[in-house]
Amino acid sequence: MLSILAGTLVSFASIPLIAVMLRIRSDWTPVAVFAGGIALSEGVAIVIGAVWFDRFYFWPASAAVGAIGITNFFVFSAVYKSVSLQMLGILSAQKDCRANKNLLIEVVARPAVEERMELLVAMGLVAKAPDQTYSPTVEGLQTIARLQKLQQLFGINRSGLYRNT
Amino acid sequence: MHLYPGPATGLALLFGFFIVPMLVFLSHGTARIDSAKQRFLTAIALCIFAWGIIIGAMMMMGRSISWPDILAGSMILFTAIVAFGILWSLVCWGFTTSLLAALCSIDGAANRYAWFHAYGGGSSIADFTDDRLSILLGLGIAKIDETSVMLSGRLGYVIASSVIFLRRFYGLPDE
Repeated sequence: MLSILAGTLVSFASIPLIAVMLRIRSDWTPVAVFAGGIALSEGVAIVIGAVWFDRFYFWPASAAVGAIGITNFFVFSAVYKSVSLQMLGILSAQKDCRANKNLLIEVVARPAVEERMELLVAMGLVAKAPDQTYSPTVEGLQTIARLQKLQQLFGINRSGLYRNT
Repeated sequence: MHLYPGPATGLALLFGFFIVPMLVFLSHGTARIDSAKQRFLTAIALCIFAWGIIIGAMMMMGRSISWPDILAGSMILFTAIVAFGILWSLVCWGFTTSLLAALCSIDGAANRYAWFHAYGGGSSIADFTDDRLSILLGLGIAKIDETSVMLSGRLGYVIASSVIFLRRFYGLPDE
């Protein structure tokens, strides 16, 4: 039980550290920051266990590090990218927490779509022509070919909107 | 340092990874479940059930399994479920990847309107808004009338406040 506790405490301590790293190293991808934070937690838990504990159990400590680390990452990715949660934020900022649906379309949905389109351009997966038209690059086509193989494995015929899957 | 997992932890590692072949099994043939959400929930329920049944059977046969081992096993299963859940949602509903897939399906270059039209299968941005809003309505966090959308009661307000707090905690800009 002490091994689980050690993993839990170290992992909780890494949460503010990851939040600080996300602020000061904005050039790193969030996935890299979280992976580094979880790996560091695991390393610190092992060192603490090896140095201070008479009987340290690797797997229970690692289970605690993994569970807290993945939960932290899940929460971050939800508030970072979820369009639905962005809508909640907008609603809470309105008088009586009520908004016309057109506001959600213009303030959340349309910018979200346009940001993702430009993100794909910035990632080099989509090319943007001077006439404001878009086409996939070779890298973009290769990425989708890999995704489609994965989707075939899992029998997913169509992705995107929740109602289609 | 003890490096070997206990029985509950070892089985959790096995059944955690078993979610993937279970998902493949439930995706094809007569076992197929059409809804991607139901398919994932069924796969994880079967893995948890199998893990619990085997642990229970071992305890009934007199095998000593400690509670810390069961707790560690539960946390490993939880980790696997959340990790594969993130990957599953990316493959099924990933917004950016689905947009890219839609553009790849168009013959030739497309403007933003045509690109989004391909993504939504003919849907408009308003339909997309409804689709994303359906999650909040389904969870009872928001409600809608003919003209407007509003937070639903204390739960909606608490979750919205939590989202704002968490965005600030992680250093994300305010909406």
